[in-house]
Amino acid sequence: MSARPLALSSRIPARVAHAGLLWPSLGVILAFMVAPIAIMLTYSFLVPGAYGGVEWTFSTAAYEQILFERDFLDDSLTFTPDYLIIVARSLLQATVATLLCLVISVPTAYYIATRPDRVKNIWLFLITIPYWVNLLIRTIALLFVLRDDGPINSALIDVGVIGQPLALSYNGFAISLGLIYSFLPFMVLPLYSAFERFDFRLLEAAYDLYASRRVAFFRIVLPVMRPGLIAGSLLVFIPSVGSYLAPDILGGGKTLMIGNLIGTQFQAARNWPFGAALSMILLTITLIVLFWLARRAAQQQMN
Amino acid sequence: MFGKSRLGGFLAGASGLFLLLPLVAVIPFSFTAKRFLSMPDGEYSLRHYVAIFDPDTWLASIGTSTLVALLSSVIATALAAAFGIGIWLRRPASGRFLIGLVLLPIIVPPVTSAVALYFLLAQIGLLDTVPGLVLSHVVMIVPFAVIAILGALSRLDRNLELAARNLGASQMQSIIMVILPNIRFGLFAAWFVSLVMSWEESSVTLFVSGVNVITLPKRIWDNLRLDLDPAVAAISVIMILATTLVILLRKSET
Repeated sequence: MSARPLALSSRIPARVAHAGLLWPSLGVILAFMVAPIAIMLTYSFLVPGAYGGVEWTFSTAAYEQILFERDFLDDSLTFTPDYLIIVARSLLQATVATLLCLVISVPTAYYIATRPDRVKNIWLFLITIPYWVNLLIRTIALLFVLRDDGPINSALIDVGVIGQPLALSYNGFAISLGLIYSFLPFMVLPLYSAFERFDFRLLEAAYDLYASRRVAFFRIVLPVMRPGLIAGSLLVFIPSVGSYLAPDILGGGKTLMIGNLIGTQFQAARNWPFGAALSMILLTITLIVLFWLARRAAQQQMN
Repeated sequence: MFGKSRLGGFLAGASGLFLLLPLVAVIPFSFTAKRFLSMPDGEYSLRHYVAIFDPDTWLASIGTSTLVALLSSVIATALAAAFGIGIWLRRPASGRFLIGLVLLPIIVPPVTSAVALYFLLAQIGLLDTVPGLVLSHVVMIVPFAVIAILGALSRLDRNLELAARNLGASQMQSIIMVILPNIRFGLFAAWFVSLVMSWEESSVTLFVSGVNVITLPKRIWDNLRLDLDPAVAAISVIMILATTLVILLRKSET
């Protein structure tokens, strides 16, 4: 009978069976995510090989390189802020993108969540399309809009507002816009589902008890929204700070962010330890932000 | 709130426009008659759509992407289903930690994952191979499959499983004959999300493949670098339309 081979398994103790279910996934994550990060950490303390790769000599040069430049002749270190500026720019761009996404998303998500079902579904559909379209294609599409012969510039020229096309692409502004464009749906959707679950009778009760709109928003709505706000912020900040596509395509490769600097170490520069060290720094920044936000969320819950 | 939601309405409209305008703006670029990426000036052509059917370039990449996406989505769904059911059955004290561990690839910045996987694949000689790419994709998409499956399991009545066990079903029988059929929609959702994620994966793919194995996003990337081929616009239009169609189909199903 077909149940026969299955019956065999009844002799396996439940504990072992459950472990057998959990371990394949855990094994994949340990072998292909945790172990590679350990390799990366190790490589960041080695010396670059002549044609890529690494030489097994311990060195902190990769980390020093972020702050200092080593003189070829007398081996002295001089402070150079170039790489530090790139790290700072990445943090700034990601913070700006996260804040602007927040400012845009809160009213947007609120508006969508309070529409009648039919209208709501249309809005959700419109927001979900960019959520699912390939990030690379979306970034290229934004480049088309910002180009000198793109719709914005041609419209402005046709109307006669400007004579020459505005330099909308290949600069820091385009990168900011690109990050917001890339990750805005990641903010709108969690906020929407938070508003969706929100019990609007609470708000009515607050008004009945003479709360002003401001007070009602900050004391009633915001605390309920906090998990959504934190989830959305993480979903925008983490991919933004390490973003590779937006600075490369929209920034024209001139205004680098840390992701591009890392990428270069595996192409032209061929400096694996430096690439590994930069990746470790990016990972550390991300984890700090993550734990900071998670702690804030936990504290809020205790209050 | 928000000025009788007039501000909300305006911002919702503005962000909707902002999100969708670029997707529409690609369309005219794809119909240019010129060799290079530009707005068509009076002359329209379908030549860049025809170019997609070149079996050596675009079609080959579509094939590679499909193969990698099918393999990695099936593997990721199987892994995630086993993991989800394991957590659901056992409810281990370390459950939160284990789930956190499996979700690690979402937390780690994509570039960092890419570098880490690059080192590992270089070490074991799988750089720029289909197995290497499938492995990378599985790691990157498994968290999304796990989220979908845990969601489906949280809606499953525990009594069903208990009843099956009481009536003499072994653990394996209860999984195959009770749990899996009951979460089949969750399984499908997990597989579908994985498929799309793998099909579109570009952050890790750009690092760990590129010469022998060229997925569609990688081909688009290369074309954008080298010669601004308008075929990029044509393939973008097709992919945007395909995505929209899939969302519409899924909507009409539910």
